[in-house]
Amino acid sequence: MRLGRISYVNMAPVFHRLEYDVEEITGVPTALNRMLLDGQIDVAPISSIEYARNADHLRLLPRLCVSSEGAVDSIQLVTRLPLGRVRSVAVTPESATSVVLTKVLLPGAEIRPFEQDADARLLIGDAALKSAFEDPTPHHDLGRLWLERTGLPMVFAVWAAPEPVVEGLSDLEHALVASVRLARSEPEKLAYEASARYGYPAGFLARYFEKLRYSFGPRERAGLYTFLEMARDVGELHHVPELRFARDLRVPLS
Amino acid sequence: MALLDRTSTLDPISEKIDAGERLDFEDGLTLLESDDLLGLGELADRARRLRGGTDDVFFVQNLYLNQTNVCRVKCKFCAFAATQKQAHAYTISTEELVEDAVRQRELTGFTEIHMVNGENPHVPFAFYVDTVRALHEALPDVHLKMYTASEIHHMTKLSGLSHEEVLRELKAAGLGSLPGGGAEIFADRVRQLVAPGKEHPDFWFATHDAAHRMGIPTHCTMLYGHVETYEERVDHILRLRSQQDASGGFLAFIPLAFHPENTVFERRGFRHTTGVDDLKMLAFSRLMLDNIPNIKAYWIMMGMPLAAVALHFGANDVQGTVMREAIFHAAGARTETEQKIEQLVRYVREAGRTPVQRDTLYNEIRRWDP
Ligand code: SF4
Repeated sequence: MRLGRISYVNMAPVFHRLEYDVEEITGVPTALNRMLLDGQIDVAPISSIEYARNADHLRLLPRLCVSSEGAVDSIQLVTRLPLGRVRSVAVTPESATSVVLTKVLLPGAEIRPFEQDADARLLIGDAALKSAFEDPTPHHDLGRLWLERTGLPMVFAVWAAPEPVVEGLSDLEHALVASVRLARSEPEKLAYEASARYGYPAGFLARYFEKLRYSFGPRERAGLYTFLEMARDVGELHHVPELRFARDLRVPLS
Repeated sequence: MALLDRTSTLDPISEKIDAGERLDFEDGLTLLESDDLLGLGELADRARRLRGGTDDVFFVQNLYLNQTNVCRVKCKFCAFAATQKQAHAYTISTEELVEDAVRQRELTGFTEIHMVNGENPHVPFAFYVDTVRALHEALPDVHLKMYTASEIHHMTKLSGLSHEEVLRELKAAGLGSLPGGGAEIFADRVRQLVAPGKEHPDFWFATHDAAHRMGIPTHCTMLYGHVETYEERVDHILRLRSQQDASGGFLAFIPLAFHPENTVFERRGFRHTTGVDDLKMLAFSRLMLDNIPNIKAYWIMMGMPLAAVALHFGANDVQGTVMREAIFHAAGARTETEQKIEQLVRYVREAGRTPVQRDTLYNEIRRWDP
């Protein structure tokens, strides 16, 4: 089985101790997304918005996602203005879902390339965390804003497989879930290993992993769907797809 | 000797729980056949904690409504349904229903409306859509948890639409989630006996599956304590577990004890379930349903004292409700609902747990000291 592996640190718990025979294909999200859609990879994590844009060809793993319940620290909107007065946001194109999340939370604001001047800047990852310590300008955590707005978790990424799904997919899913569970039971080991691999300080990573959720429960499903509906309302999504899962139990009804 | 028996039957299950392994059909039967009530409770409570459960015990403030009791189905266990011609038959207009809900909201501040009805063949599909829309417009902050899968199925018959289309229209109008009723017992044999007029269970699953795929969370139930066997209970639970594996949208499981009063079963000598069976069912469902986050001890049915004990048998939710308040209660007097909350809080604390008022999607609204 060919498994796409995004080189983002938030995936570390899922790969912590993956006991399953897979061929790992590492890459940046855009390349992996293309391979996933072409069927060159059997399964991979994919950002929520990219999944939705290609949902007709994809099936979701029903037990895994990457989400946060409130603040995540790694997605910050930095601005001197009160949020209601922000008219433009400068963003890095790096994270498609964060950009759409910004549009959804600030529907009136214009999105600009990062180099340009704007009322607010969207910071992601390490830059966001560092900035929160170093820059006295008010930082707004988008995970928290999302929770305040919707009362639901924010789902950043899901796991998808191209149709028809590869055999043994649910066994792989089981192995991924087991890896997360083990990672949760040894948070220090996880933080040190991820620190060595991705280069962030271990202490930061330990706190960061605590804020992320990996199981795809009913609240996460509702959160994902709400996000997609709001993305549609701001013109980022043509239509909201139904969530189609890899293990389909549906009985044909007359 | 009893101690030896206990060691022999629950021990392998206990090992599986500690290892994070899934229980199977045989394990389910062993649990239900076990007489070691305390052993079951200990196991269920441990499983709950191992899977991430805390001391929090949830309840929600919700208003129960039934817009119509007219029902074409005639389930044998149902003391609620009426035919259109019967004197106690009623169908409340949307305007009246909304007015009543708004008035109760001013008095009690509930966050959820829980509404289920009979399957009334004399109303059009628009009746349901209009009701959802009107309630949502009048009370936009209130979560609308309405219509069992059976009612959704009934609406497909009224409208000619598919289950998906019915759900889409209701969601667009403001529906938030589905309650778990209509499941009864899935096994064909039992359904023939207790609910011959009800649709095949495939439709129940298709409805919940469709809801989950459009981000509508739902609940699930089992009506136990009538003619079903232990095997049929296990079968029911395993079907729910598979569905949750596949589509994952169940927020909670609620075992419902059968009340024979005013049904044909009363004449046949059926009696209310005993507390022992209720506790056993909660422990059993917590242990088997390793993928459903919340198990409810429904205090309105089992009584608050037993529901509090049930918190040590795998339950982490005691439901809650609001009392119907009279419009002119004396100023300054505590309402019946406030008294009920105080009572819930006291029972939960007494059980050594932390009372947390939640909304429908399990967001915390208010927390008390443990
Ligand atoms: S469908 Fe519901 S209301 Fe109608 S008879 Fe059955 S249980 Fe009662």
